Amino acid sequence: MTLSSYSITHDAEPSQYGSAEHVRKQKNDNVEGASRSGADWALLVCAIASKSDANAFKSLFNHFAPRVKSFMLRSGLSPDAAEEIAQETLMTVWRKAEQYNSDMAAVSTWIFTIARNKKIDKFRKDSRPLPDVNDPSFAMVEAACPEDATDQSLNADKLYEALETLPEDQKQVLVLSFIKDNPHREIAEQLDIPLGTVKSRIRLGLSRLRDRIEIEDTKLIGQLK
Amino acid sequence: MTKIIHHPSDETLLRYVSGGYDTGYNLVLATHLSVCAKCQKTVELQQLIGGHVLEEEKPANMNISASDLLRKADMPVVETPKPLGSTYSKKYGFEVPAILNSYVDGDFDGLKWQSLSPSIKQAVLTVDGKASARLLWMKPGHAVPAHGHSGEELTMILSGGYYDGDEAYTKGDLHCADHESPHMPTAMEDQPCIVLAATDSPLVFRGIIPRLLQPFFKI
Ligand SMILES: [Zn+2]
Repeated sequence: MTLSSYSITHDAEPSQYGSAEHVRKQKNDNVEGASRSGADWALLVCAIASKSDANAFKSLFNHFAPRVKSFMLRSGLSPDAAEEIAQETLMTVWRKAEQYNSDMAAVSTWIFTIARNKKIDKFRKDSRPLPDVNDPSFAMVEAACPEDATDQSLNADKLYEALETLPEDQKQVLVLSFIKDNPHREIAEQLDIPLGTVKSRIRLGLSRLRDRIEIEDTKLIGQLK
Repeated sequence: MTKIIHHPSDETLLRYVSGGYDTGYNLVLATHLSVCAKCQKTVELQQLIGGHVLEEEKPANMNISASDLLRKADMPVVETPKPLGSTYSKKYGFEVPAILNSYVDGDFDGLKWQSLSPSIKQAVLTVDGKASARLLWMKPGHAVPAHGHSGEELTMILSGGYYDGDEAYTKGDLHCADHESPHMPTAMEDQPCIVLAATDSPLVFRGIIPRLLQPFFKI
């Protein structure tokens, strides 16, 4: 069962998925997706950063833009808003490629956080900086020396394996948490389980994942220990 | 720095990571995250999961191609302003975290406080959507009037500390109060306590006077 198959309401309008054009695209995507590992995506981002490689961008766009859009549609955004966020997200990938650090995060994680910020920005009225923990200029703590950096894409692979071993009910609430606006209350209502059960499944799921993969202190110094 | 005891729950952080909070909450949580290695690790883990959820999406049909988008790339960009760095507040004697500094325009010492009572002052920072964030200054040994909430209240202790029930909250702690029963934080005796707090619903004070003041102070 894939993660995206978790959906308690309808995924999106059928028209978003039904066209022949779309099916063809998706096939190509899958072929491309299957042949690319996290490290390959990282190389493509580096190619944009180092030489504004338009072909590298096209590959990233073809893979990630439709997924960001789909993610936003499932979060309940209108097709226009979802399209806009997908475009803005990929535009940021193009413009800010040099800010991507393959030691710190998988490309999918980086793009996820960009899209998350675009979504928040779309709905907030404030012109001040987004309170974003990933923004390097606001971090209080310095990055550890490069030698200490964990290979985050390895962690991403480990995480994927670990996710597969989670009990279905825990995996389900974790995944749904990402696509609901008021995730825990909505999940409780839609799965018809108590709010406390949603919370405990999240805690159990995360602690199991924590046990299975070790995220080392890459960004952090041990000042608080 | 003292050890951080109180952290946001996994599900609170997950909601932050998935973008489900308004600016007020995001500000409080990001301020805590900027000093808390433990929560940063949890957030990293959750972001990894987010990346995988994204990877597993069924692709939707985009209206434009990569080349179309690149043609737009030369258009001028509205840059999100960068956070100011952290600065030391001479007046209150603590380091103002970088992200919070942006929300006080780099001038924590110049904040205009409103007196809620002789022992409590507040400065409202932002009202964006439903959530509001505000700073509260509490005189040593004095209490915020007993209040309850119908929503979630997140409070980050910036300086000093307070007691609430049997628990002590000190600098760096994040106090999450989503209970409906009234509580009454009381500042520790040794120094004033300064906190950053966000709520999504007005606080409900038990005393008649604070309730009358409520409309004037946006709390
Ligand atoms: Zn913490």
